[in-house]
Amino acid sequence: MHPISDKDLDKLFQQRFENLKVEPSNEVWGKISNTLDNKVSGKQSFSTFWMAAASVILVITAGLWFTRPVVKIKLQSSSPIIVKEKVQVSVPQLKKESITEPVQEELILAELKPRLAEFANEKPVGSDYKLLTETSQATPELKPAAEQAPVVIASAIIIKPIAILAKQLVKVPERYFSDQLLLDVSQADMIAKVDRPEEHKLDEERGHNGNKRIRSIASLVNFVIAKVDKREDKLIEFKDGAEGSEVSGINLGLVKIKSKK
Amino acid sequence: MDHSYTIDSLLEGCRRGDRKAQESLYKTLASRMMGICLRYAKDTFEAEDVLQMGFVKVFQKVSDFRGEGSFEGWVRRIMVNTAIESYRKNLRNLNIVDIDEVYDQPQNTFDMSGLELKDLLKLVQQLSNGYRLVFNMYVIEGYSHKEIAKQLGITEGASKSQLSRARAILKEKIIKMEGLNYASHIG
Repeated sequence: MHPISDKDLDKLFQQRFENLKVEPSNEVWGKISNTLDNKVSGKQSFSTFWMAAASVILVITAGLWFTRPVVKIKLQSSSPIIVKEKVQVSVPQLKKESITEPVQEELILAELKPRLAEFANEKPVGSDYKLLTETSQATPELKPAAEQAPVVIASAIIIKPIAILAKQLVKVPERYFSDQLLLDVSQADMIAKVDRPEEHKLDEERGHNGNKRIRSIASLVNFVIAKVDKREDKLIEFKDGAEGSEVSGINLGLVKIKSKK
Repeated sequence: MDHSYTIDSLLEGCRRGDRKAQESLYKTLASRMMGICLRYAKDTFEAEDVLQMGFVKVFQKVSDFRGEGSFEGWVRRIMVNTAIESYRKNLRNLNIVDIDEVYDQPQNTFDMSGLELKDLLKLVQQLSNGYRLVFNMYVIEGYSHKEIAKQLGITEGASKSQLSRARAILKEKIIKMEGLNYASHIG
């Protein structure tokens, strides 16, 4: 019996173990294969999760799209802001005469000339409108009279900016081409619509938000949402309460939740 | 070489997740890897568990293999790391087997031809988990004590003392075996 050195011992094991090969039992591959199958199916369920998430986003986007805000003109407004607005007016043919008279705009006149000639003999109607227009210039806060009132007011306040900006577009509904007697000023297409420029709105937003300081995550989120969502009721709104920030309103288009302030 | 060519083509299949390629690769490497796992395990069942976990990792990480060094060497490292992980996991659940228990193991009868591979394997498997791990990592895999200490979360001194204890036990057992062989040869 001789003592074995560390070196000899290590060498012995290294040599013997160098090419150690042992066949594992056949079950091992089956277990590996099963484990891999489970992992793969896990990945598939993950992708269905993303599909579900994507479809929810799609529905919300569609909701926002169909309920996007339409800016309405305030007919009674006496605010000078209106003067700056780009105005798009849908007026029937008869209306046009009254508009063009004070406006003195070359392009529109060129477009209207043939029609002006056509309506030259219809004095009674023309003079009616002329009268109203003159009155409105004198007293912008004229109170509307019954049916015709909205249109009259619209022409009173909006016609001026048209003259200044020279950007108006006059469209006449086809149904008035034939018979002016059918004119009905209470129809929707008779009412002037305002297309407010986006930049102007953004300026307003900026001015509005500039006063608020962003103090919390909630106000930061509100700020970002306000940039993206132009509706009065935002997609989601937060407010800073006594116990931190809380959701004060949700607007998913069809579903709106808003807490009282 | 033909061998490396087949490994490369199998690797392509494995990266795509092709089950046939995975099976072929497994069959190519399984017996050698089982040899490694057996050294780190106390028995065949434990070794097969490590082998299984190791190969699952190989197939999951196969796209991480960038062809630096041999693929077999890469798989080998995964097997050793899996064995170490398994040891560390068991360490939390089981008490380390007392050294005296190793001595109490019933001695098997040995071949006349001396120290067979399977006998040596049995000797290593009979070591307590910690000794076996350090012995394998240092002597067979060639890790330094520093690396072992880092991997097992022990001090370098502990690694050194465990190695010398493991060597002492193995020497003693080998001498015993040689004596038995000698005695049976004479008798």
